[in-house]
Amino acid sequence: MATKKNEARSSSPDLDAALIDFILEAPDDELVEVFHDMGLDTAGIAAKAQQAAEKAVALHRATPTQEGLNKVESLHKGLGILLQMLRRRDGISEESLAAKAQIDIEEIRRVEYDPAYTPKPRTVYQLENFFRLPERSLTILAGAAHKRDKELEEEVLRFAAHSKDLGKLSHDEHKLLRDFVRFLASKSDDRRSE
Amino acid sequence: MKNADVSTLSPGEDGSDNFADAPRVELEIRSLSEGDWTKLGTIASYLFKVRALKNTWAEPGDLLQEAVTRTLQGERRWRLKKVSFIYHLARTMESISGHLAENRERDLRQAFRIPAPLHSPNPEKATESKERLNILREWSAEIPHGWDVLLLKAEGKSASEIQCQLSISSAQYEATRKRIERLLIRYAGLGGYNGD
Repeated sequence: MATKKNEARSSSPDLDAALIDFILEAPDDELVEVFHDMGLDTAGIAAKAQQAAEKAVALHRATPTQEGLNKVESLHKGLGILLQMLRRRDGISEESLAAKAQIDIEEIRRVEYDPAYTPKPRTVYQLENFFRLPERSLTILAGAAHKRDKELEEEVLRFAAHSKDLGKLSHDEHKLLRDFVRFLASKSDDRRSE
Repeated sequence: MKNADVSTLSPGEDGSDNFADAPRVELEIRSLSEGDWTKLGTIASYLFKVRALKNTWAEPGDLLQEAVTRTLQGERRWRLKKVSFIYHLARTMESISGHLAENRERDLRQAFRIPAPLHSPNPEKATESKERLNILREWSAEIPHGWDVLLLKAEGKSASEIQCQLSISSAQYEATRKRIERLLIRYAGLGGYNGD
């Protein structure tokens, strides 16, 4: 028999946990039988529970999480650094780029320095054309993330971490830039074929 | 998958990749069976009732919704290889409702200036525990071996250990177990029993 000592040790939260364990461990058909014997219908209880969970999912999808926003900003930061490196590679100023690519200079500055800013689609298109980048290679950095792409996020972080701010591109930075653009091109090819 | 010592760690306590992210959680939700949903709905109803949550939420489903939300957001992360998903949700609901009950008890104490019991590190939990113990003892008394089985289960004993310790057969244990399930379902308000 369980002793008073056992009783003293068990608090009601432990007992609630034990009760819940009985339900969790019960075979499904047994639980249906128990409910049926009590004149209850499991379908209604199950449906309400499922609706509650699906409501949570729908709300979660509709609400941008801080983590989600951080991921988009990381991609934008990668875009900004990429743009700076491309200018450094080609030795052109922001003003010169604005004039030649027919983009508003303020837009260029925001893309380069404001990760919270989402560039206009036309800006992205003009930049891809001007720098002769593979089609849509900048687009995947520019828009909101459609789905989690861990590989892309990691590659952007790696790229951003290894780039420097000023001066002509070093040999390593040239390679970094080439590899990153190649990676973006392969990503945009993957998405086209999805 | 066992639930022996589930722990819903807060983010940051374990740097491993064994925690499910939001897409994985969504996938799991889509794969639950009607039996799983019945269990979750029953547990949500039970906790809603015993923790008196009707002042917090409109219905038991809201407690389940909160548990799913916190899992999706990463606040209560599901350890993939440790426990099944429904165990995780059940424990999360238990935890959330437990904290709410404690906070309510504390607010009442403060509002009515009721002193805390002497030598009690967590007076809110102690008060709730004593009352709940009495209720649980009372309504499991109608089941042969009910109270003893419940106590031993709460200590983490397995079915065979309980049978051995109480010198009951497996048929007796199974009968007791099913009656306890019925009692929980009734007490949760699903069987028209108020339990007040």
